[in-house]
Amino acid sequence: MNAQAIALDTLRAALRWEGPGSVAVEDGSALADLAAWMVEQAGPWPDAARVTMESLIAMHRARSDSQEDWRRLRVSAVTLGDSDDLETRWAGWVAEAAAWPLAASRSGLAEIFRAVAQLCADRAAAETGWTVQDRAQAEEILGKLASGTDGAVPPREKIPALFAAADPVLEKRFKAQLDAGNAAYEVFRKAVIAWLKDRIGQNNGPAVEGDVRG
Amino acid sequence: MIHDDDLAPSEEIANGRLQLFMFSANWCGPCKAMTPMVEDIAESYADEVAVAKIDVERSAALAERFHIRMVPALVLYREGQEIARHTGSMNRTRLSLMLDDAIGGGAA
Repeated sequence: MNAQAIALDTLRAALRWEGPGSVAVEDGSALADLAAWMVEQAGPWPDAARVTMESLIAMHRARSDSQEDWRRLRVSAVTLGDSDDLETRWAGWVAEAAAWPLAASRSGLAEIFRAVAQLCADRAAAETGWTVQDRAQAEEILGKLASGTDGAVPPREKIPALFAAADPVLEKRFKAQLDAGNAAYEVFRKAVIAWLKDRIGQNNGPAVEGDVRG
Repeated sequence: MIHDDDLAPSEEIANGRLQLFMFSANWCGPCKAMTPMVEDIAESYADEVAVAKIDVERSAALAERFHIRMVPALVLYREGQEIARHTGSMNRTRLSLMLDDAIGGGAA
Protein backbone atom coordinates (compact mmCIF):
# COMPACT_ATOMS: atom_id res chain seq x y z
CA MET A 1 0.00 0.00 0.00
CA ASN A 2 1.50 3.38 -0.96
CA ALA A 3 1.72 6.45 1.29
CA GLN A 4 -1.29 8.14 -0.32
CA ALA A 5 -3.44 5.06 0.21
CA ILE A 6 -2.41 4.94 3.89
CA ALA A 7 -3.22 8.65 4.24
CA LEU A 8 -6.61 8.04 2.67
CA ASP A 9 -7.30 5.12 5.02
CA THR A 10 -6.39 7.34 7.99
CA LEU A 11 -8.76 10.02 6.71
CA ARG A 12 -11.56 7.50 6.24
CA ALA A 13 -11.12 6.37 9.85
CA ALA A 14 -11.40 10.01 10.96
CA LEU A 15 -14.51 10.36 8.80
CA ARG A 16 -15.98 7.16 10.29
CA TRP A 17 -16.56 6.07 6.71
CA GLU A 18 -15.73 2.46 5.96
CA GLY A 19 -16.28 2.58 2.21
CA PRO A 20 -15.20 -0.31 0.03
CA GLY A 21 -11.84 -1.02 1.70
CA SER A 22 -8.32 0.11 0.87
CA VAL A 23 -7.75 1.51 -2.58
CA ALA A 24 -4.57 2.25 -4.46
CA VAL A 25 -3.99 5.93 -5.09
CA GLU A 26 -1.60 6.17 -8.00
CA ASP A 27 -1.72 9.92 -8.39
CA GLY A 28 -1.32 12.12 -5.33
CA SER A 29 -2.77 15.15 -7.07
CA ALA A 30 -6.34 14.24 -6.05
CA LEU A 31 -5.33 14.12 -2.39
CA ALA A 32 -3.42 17.40 -2.70
CA ASP A 33 -6.55 18.92 -4.22
CA LEU A 34 -8.58 17.51 -1.33
CA ALA A 35 -6.21 19.11 1.19
CA ALA A 36 -6.49 22.46 -0.58
CA TRP A 37 -10.27 22.14 -0.90
CA MET A 38 -10.69 21.34 2.82
CA VAL A 39 -8.63 24.38 3.80
CA GLU A 40 -10.71 26.55 1.45
CA GLN A 41 -13.92 25.38 3.15
CA ALA A 42 -12.72 26.97 6.39
CA GLY A 43 -12.76 30.46 4.84
CA PRO A 44 -13.42 33.35 4.74
CA TRP A 45 -10.28 34.35 6.58
CA PRO A 46 -9.63 37.34 8.79
CA ASP A 47 -7.17 39.75 7.16
CA ALA A 48 -4.37 38.69 9.49
CA ALA A 49 -4.60 35.08 8.25
CA ARG A 50 -5.27 35.59 4.53
CA VAL A 51 -1.71 35.45 3.18
CA THR A 52 -0.82 32.34 5.17
CA MET A 53 -4.00 30.48 4.24
CA GLU A 54 -3.73 31.34 0.55
CA SER A 55 -0.08 30.26 0.57
CA LEU A 56 -1.04 26.94 2.16
CA ILE A 57 -3.68 26.28 -0.47
CA ALA A 58 -1.25 27.14 -3.27
CA MET A 59 1.49 24.94 -1.77
CA HIS A 60 -0.84 21.94 -1.56
CA ARG A 61 -2.16 22.49 -5.08
CA ALA A 62 1.43 22.69 -6.38
CA ARG A 63 2.41 19.62 -4.29
CA SER A 64 5.39 21.62 -3.09
CA ASP A 65 8.22 19.68 -1.49
CA SER A 66 10.14 22.75 -0.34
CA GLN A 67 10.88 21.96 3.31
CA GLU A 68 11.97 25.54 3.86
CA ASP A 69 8.67 26.96 2.60
CA TRP A 70 6.62 24.50 4.66
CA ARG A 71 8.64 25.32 7.77
CA ARG A 72 8.13 29.05 7.16
CA LEU A 73 4.38 28.46 6.90
CA ARG A 74 4.39 26.49 10.15
CA VAL A 75 5.99 29.43 11.92
CA SER A 76 3.29 31.74 10.49
CA ALA A 77 0.60 29.22 11.45
CA VAL A 78 1.73 29.08 15.07
CA THR A 79 1.80 32.88 15.25
CA LEU A 80 -1.82 32.92 14.05
CA GLY A 81 -2.74 30.06 16.38
CA ASP A 82 -1.50 32.07 19.36
CA SER A 83 -3.44 35.22 18.36
CA ASP A 84 -5.70 36.98 20.84
CA ASP A 85 -8.32 37.36 18.10
CA LEU A 86 -10.63 34.32 18.04
CA GLU A 87 -11.17 34.11 14.26
CA THR A 88 -7.45 34.50 13.64
CA ARG A 89 -6.70 31.83 16.23
CA TRP A 90 -9.15 29.41 14.58
CA ALA A 91 -7.54 30.02 11.19
CA GLY A 92 -4.15 29.41 12.78
CA TRP A 93 -5.21 26.02 14.12
CA VAL A 94 -6.28 24.99 10.62
CA ALA A 95 -3.01 26.34 9.24
CA GLU A 96 -1.01 24.37 11.82
CA ALA A 97 -2.73 21.17 10.69
CA ALA A 98 -2.28 21.95 7.00
CA ALA A 99 1.32 23.20 6.99
CA TRP A 100 2.90 19.89 6.03
CA PRO A 101 3.45 18.26 2.64
CA LEU A 102 1.19 15.26 2.10
CA ALA A 103 3.88 13.10 0.56
CA ALA A 104 4.81 10.20 2.85
CA SER A 105 2.40 11.46 5.54
CA ARG A 106 -0.11 9.11 7.16
CA SER A 107 -1.86 11.78 9.15
CA GLY A 108 -1.93 14.89 6.94
CA LEU A 109 -5.40 14.61 5.45
CA ALA A 110 -7.00 13.45 8.70
CA GLU A 111 -5.38 16.29 10.64
CA ILE A 112 -6.68 18.87 8.16
CA PHE A 113 -10.15 17.32 8.23
CA ARG A 114 -10.32 17.43 12.03
CA ALA A 115 -9.06 21.01 12.21
CA VAL A 116 -11.52 22.33 9.63
CA ALA A 117 -14.43 20.33 11.06
CA GLN A 118 -13.60 21.74 14.51
CA LEU A 119 -13.47 25.27 13.08
CA CYS A 120 -16.91 24.73 11.49
CA ALA A 121 -18.21 23.51 14.84
CA ASP A 122 -16.65 26.40 16.76
CA ARG A 123 -18.07 28.96 14.34
CA ALA A 124 -21.56 27.42 14.53
CA ALA A 125 -21.38 27.39 18.33
CA ALA A 126 -20.31 31.04 18.37
CA GLU A 127 -23.22 31.96 16.09
CA THR A 128 -25.61 30.85 18.87
CA GLY A 129 -24.07 33.55 21.08
CA TRP A 130 -21.76 31.16 22.93
CA THR A 131 -18.58 32.87 24.09
CA VAL A 132 -15.19 31.88 25.47
CA GLN A 133 -16.39 33.16 28.86
CA ASP A 134 -19.54 30.99 28.65
CA ARG A 135 -17.38 27.99 27.89
CA ALA A 136 -15.09 28.66 30.84
CA GLN A 137 -18.11 29.03 33.13
CA ALA A 138 -19.68 25.80 31.84
CA GLU A 139 -16.41 23.89 32.21
CA GLU A 140 -16.08 25.09 35.79
CA ILE A 141 -19.59 23.93 36.67
CA LEU A 142 -19.20 20.61 34.84
CA GLY A 143 -15.83 20.02 36.48
CA LYS A 144 -17.30 20.51 39.93
CA LEU A 145 -20.28 18.29 39.13
CA ALA A 146 -18.05 15.53 37.74
CA SER A 147 -15.88 15.65 40.87
CA GLY A 148 -18.95 15.10 43.05
CA THR A 149 -19.55 16.20 46.59
CA ASP A 150 -18.56 14.58 49.87
CA GLY A 151 -16.63 11.91 47.99
CA ALA A 152 -19.67 10.77 45.98
CA VAL A 153 -19.14 11.01 42.24
CA PRO A 154 -22.39 11.12 40.23
CA PRO A 155 -22.92 8.71 37.31
CA ARG A 156 -21.94 10.33 34.01
CA GLU A 157 -25.51 10.12 32.65
CA LYS A 158 -26.82 12.25 35.53
CA ILE A 159 -24.49 15.17 34.90
CA PRO A 160 -26.69 16.95 32.28
CA ALA A 161 -29.61 17.02 34.71
CA LEU A 162 -27.36 18.23 37.52
CA PHE A 163 -26.02 20.95 35.19
CA ALA A 164 -29.59 22.01 34.34
CA ALA A 165 -30.41 22.21 38.05
CA ALA A 166 -27.25 24.18 38.85
CA ASP A 167 -27.66 26.79 36.08
CA PRO A 168 -30.71 26.21 33.86
CA VAL A 169 -30.09 29.21 31.57
CA LEU A 170 -26.44 28.35 30.89
CA GLU A 171 -27.28 24.65 30.43
CA LYS A 172 -29.87 25.49 27.78
CA ARG A 173 -27.40 27.68 25.91
CA PHE A 174 -24.69 25.02 26.34
CA LYS A 175 -26.91 22.42 24.70
CA ALA A 176 -27.87 24.80 21.88
CA GLN A 177 -24.23 25.55 21.01
CA LEU A 178 -23.31 21.87 21.31
CA ASP A 179 -26.11 20.86 18.92
CA ALA A 180 -25.13 23.61 16.47
CA GLY A 181 -21.47 22.62 16.64
CA ASN A 182 -22.19 18.93 16.17
CA ALA A 183 -24.46 19.68 13.20
CA ALA A 184 -21.80 21.82 11.52
CA TYR A 185 -19.14 19.14 12.10
CA GLU A 186 -21.45 16.58 10.53
CA VAL A 187 -22.16 18.76 7.49
CA PHE A 188 -18.44 19.10 6.82
CA ARG A 189 -17.84 15.37 7.39
CA LYS A 190 -20.49 14.53 4.79
CA ALA A 191 -19.08 17.12 2.39
CA VAL A 192 -15.65 15.47 2.54
CA ILE A 193 -17.17 12.03 1.92
CA ALA A 194 -19.09 13.45 -1.04
CA TRP A 195 -15.86 14.95 -2.39
CA LEU A 196 -14.10 11.61 -2.09
CA LYS A 197 -16.91 9.76 -3.83
CA ASP A 198 -16.93 12.28 -6.60
CA ARG A 199 -13.18 12.57 -7.17
CA ILE A 200 -11.74 9.23 -6.18
CA GLY A 201 -14.66 7.17 -7.34
CA GLN A 202 -15.36 5.25 -4.17
CA ASN A 203 -19.03 4.84 -4.87
CA ASN A 204 -19.63 1.75 -2.76
CA GLY A 205 -19.54 3.49 0.62
CA PRO A 206 -22.52 4.33 2.82
CA ALA A 207 -25.01 6.77 1.40
CA VAL A 208 -24.34 10.44 2.13
CA GLU A 209 -27.48 12.10 3.40
CA GLY A 210 -28.36 15.72 3.94
CA ASP A 211 -27.02 18.96 2.53
CA VAL A 212 -23.33 19.45 2.01
CA ARG A 213 -21.20 22.57 1.76
CA GLY A 214 -18.94 23.47 -1.05
CA MET B 1 5.19 -0.18 21.83
CA ILE B 2 6.20 -0.88 25.43
CA HIS B 3 4.19 -3.80 26.74
CA ASP B 4 5.27 -3.90 30.36
CA ASP B 5 6.89 -1.68 32.99
CA ASP B 6 10.47 -2.02 31.81
CA LEU B 7 12.01 0.98 30.04
CA ALA B 8 15.39 -0.66 29.50
CA PRO B 9 14.66 -2.05 25.99
CA SER B 10 13.37 1.35 24.89
CA GLU B 11 16.48 3.06 26.28
CA GLU B 12 18.64 0.58 24.42
CA ILE B 13 16.81 1.28 21.15
CA ALA B 14 17.04 5.03 21.75
CA ASN B 15 20.81 4.69 21.91
CA GLY B 16 21.39 8.24 23.13
CA ARG B 17 18.57 9.88 21.18
CA LEU B 18 15.77 11.81 22.86
CA GLN B 19 12.88 9.59 23.92
CA LEU B 20 9.26 10.56 23.34
CA PHE B 21 6.77 8.51 25.32
CA MET B 22 3.15 8.62 24.22
CA PHE B 23 0.93 7.40 27.05
CA SER B 24 -2.41 6.15 25.75
CA ALA B 25 -5.23 3.70 26.36
CA ASN B 26 -7.18 1.53 23.96
CA TRP B 27 -10.47 3.15 25.03
CA CYS B 28 -9.12 6.67 24.37
CA GLY B 29 -10.46 8.18 21.13
CA PRO B 30 -8.07 11.17 21.06
CA CYS B 31 -5.15 8.75 21.55
CA LYS B 32 -6.22 6.76 18.50
CA ALA B 33 -6.67 9.97 16.51
CA MET B 34 -3.16 11.14 17.42
CA THR B 35 -1.37 7.86 16.69
CA PRO B 36 -0.86 8.34 12.89
CA MET B 37 0.48 11.84 13.54
CA VAL B 38 2.94 10.55 16.15
CA GLU B 39 4.02 7.85 13.67
CA ASP B 40 4.69 10.57 11.09
CA ILE B 41 6.74 12.46 13.65
CA ALA B 42 8.65 9.29 14.55
CA GLU B 43 9.69 8.94 10.91
CA SER B 44 10.54 12.61 10.43
CA TYR B 45 12.68 12.75 13.57
CA ALA B 46 14.07 9.21 13.48
CA ASP B 47 17.67 10.45 13.65
CA GLU B 48 17.05 12.51 16.79
CA VAL B 49 14.11 10.99 18.65
CA ALA B 50 13.01 7.46 19.59
CA VAL B 51 9.25 7.25 20.02
CA ALA B 52 7.53 4.67 22.22
CA LYS B 53 3.83 4.17 22.84
CA ILE B 54 2.84 3.09 26.34
CA ASP B 55 -0.58 1.72 27.26
CA VAL B 56 -1.39 3.00 30.74
CA GLU B 57 -3.30 -0.15 31.63
CA ARG B 58 -0.70 -2.65 30.44
CA SER B 59 2.11 -0.58 31.95
CA ALA B 60 0.38 0.75 35.04
CA ALA B 61 3.58 1.05 37.08
CA LEU B 62 5.23 3.14 34.35
CA ALA B 63 2.16 5.37 34.17
CA GLU B 64 2.39 5.82 37.93
CA ARG B 65 6.13 6.48 37.79
CA PHE B 66 5.51 9.24 35.22
CA HIS B 67 2.52 10.58 37.18
CA ILE B 68 0.16 10.14 34.24
CA ARG B 69 -3.35 11.18 35.26
CA MET B 70 -4.90 11.77 31.83
CA VAL B 71 -4.34 10.44 28.33
CA PRO B 72 -3.10 11.13 25.79
CA ALA B 73 0.06 12.41 27.44
CA LEU B 74 3.39 13.04 25.74
CA VAL B 75 6.58 13.01 27.77
CA LEU B 76 9.95 13.94 26.32
CA TYR B 77 12.88 12.36 28.05
CA ARG B 78 16.65 12.78 27.78
CA GLU B 79 19.22 10.79 29.70
CA GLY B 80 16.77 9.82 32.39
CA GLN B 81 15.38 13.33 32.84
CA GLU B 82 11.98 14.62 31.77
CA ILE B 83 12.47 17.78 29.71
CA ALA B 84 8.95 18.47 28.39
CA ARG B 85 5.41 17.21 28.80
CA HIS B 86 2.02 17.80 27.18
CA THR B 87 -1.29 16.37 28.29
CA GLY B 88 -4.22 16.18 25.87
CA SER B 89 -4.43 16.28 22.10
CA MET B 90 -1.68 18.00 20.16
CA ASN B 91 -1.19 18.64 16.47
CA ARG B 92 1.87 17.79 14.43
CA THR B 93 3.12 21.36 14.19
CA ARG B 94 3.04 21.91 17.96
CA LEU B 95 4.71 18.56 18.63
CA SER B 96 7.43 19.32 16.09
CA LEU B 97 8.04 22.66 17.83
CA MET B 98 8.36 20.88 21.17
CA LEU B 99 10.91 18.50 19.64
CA ASP B 100 12.77 21.30 17.84
CA ASP B 101 13.09 23.16 21.14
CA ALA B 102 14.51 20.07 22.77
CA ILE B 103 16.85 19.25 19.91
CA GLY B 104 17.93 22.87 19.63
CA GLY B 105 17.43 23.26 15.90
CA GLY B 106 15.07 22.70 12.99
CA ALA B 107 13.96 19.28 11.92
CA ALA B 108 11.43 17.57 9.67
